Amino acid sequence: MPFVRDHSTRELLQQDAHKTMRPEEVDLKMLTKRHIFMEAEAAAAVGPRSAVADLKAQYAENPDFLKKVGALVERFEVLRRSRPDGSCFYRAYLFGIFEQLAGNKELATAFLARQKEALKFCVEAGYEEVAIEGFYDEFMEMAAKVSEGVSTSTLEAMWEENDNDRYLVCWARVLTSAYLKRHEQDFASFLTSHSSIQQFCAQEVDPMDTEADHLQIMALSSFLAVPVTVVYLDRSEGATAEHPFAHESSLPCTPIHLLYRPGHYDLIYTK
Amino acid sequence: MASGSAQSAERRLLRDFKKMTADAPKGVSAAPVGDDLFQWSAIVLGPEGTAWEGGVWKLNMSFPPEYPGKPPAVRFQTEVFHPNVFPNGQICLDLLAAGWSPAYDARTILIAIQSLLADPDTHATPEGGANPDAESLFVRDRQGYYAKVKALVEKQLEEDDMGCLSAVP
Repeated sequence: MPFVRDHSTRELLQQDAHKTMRPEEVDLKMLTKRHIFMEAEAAAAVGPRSAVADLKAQYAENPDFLKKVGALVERFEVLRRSRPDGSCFYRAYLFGIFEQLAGNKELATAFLARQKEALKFCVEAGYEEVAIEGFYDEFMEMAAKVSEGVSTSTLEAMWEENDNDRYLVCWARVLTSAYLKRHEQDFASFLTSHSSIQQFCAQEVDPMDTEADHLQIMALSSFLAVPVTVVYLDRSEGATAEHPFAHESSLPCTPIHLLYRPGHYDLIYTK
Repeated sequence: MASGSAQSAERRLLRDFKKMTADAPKGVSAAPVGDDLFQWSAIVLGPEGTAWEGGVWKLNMSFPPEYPGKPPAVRFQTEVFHPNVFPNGQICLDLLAAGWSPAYDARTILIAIQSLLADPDTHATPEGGANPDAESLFVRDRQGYYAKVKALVEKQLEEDDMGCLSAVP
């Protein structure tokens, strides 16, 4: 599948909303976007393990990227694609966490204990309990099941079952929103084009197709207490840049690594 | 684990309804029509201290089987003169389109609609808007706009208010 920028889904949805008002405005550009969107829908939420070295073929005609992929291959071996629908960060990060929980009983116990109060935390941030408890239950149920120790293929299968992926992503968004709202004073000064954290969450966190950026990653990784390191692959000069998101309260575990290419996150694993 | 979507939609709608009955926010109310959990009838009272005060606005909410993955279609049944509402009652509200989140519920929607009544978003629809007449009057002549809204409220009172109020779930 060709690499798809997340922006396309957001734009498409906006165009769709627009389309319901003026059907005559459906044009070729939109049909093309729809096609891309359908491809994104068809992809597995979390793709199978593939070799990082395979990226070389994808960037064969792009020397800037190719050089960086070369450096990447030195440190990282395996890549898993996250469906490019705007929720790629949330999904990839959670999947990475669940993989770690599956192999580490001690970590799983500490992780689950920390999440016990999560529903209350989010309700206190202004969410309706009836609207979010289903997502919380799903998250806790799946985390508990994974903690008993499941194989990678079982985890992959569980993720694709029913609406599990959507439930988990939605819960991650609620947690992110709630954390930002309850730490408004820490985050408000970082806002550039939103008037308040409330508005930022309504426009950039809650809707299912909005991408995550620094603030969202900071908030969610604080709440879940699992460190995450973002590895940037772009046209900038020099080696690939890495940005660790770790916190004093982080649980003692290996950071999840995410490969960022403009507009998209995938899971990546060190050698 | 999460089960098939229509079934989970039903479960979630029941929860939304219970919450709405037990703890309805001020000035809004909603309930399923008959025994179809996916079709709701809702009432929003005009916010106090605004031109809309005293008015009773009836809406239909039609929930898709994918709810809460997808938002309901919400439409005014009562005549509205508002920059973000089409003459056919369709509402232009980001929360019901690209801005939807499955973590929102019927209450969230109705509260947002109630606040939209008194506080139109004149930047939401740069390409003409849902109701260009209402929008241009709202922008050019605020008092004239309020007068039209108040006239609609008066009309409601004059008309068969039994008919209107009997719709309150």
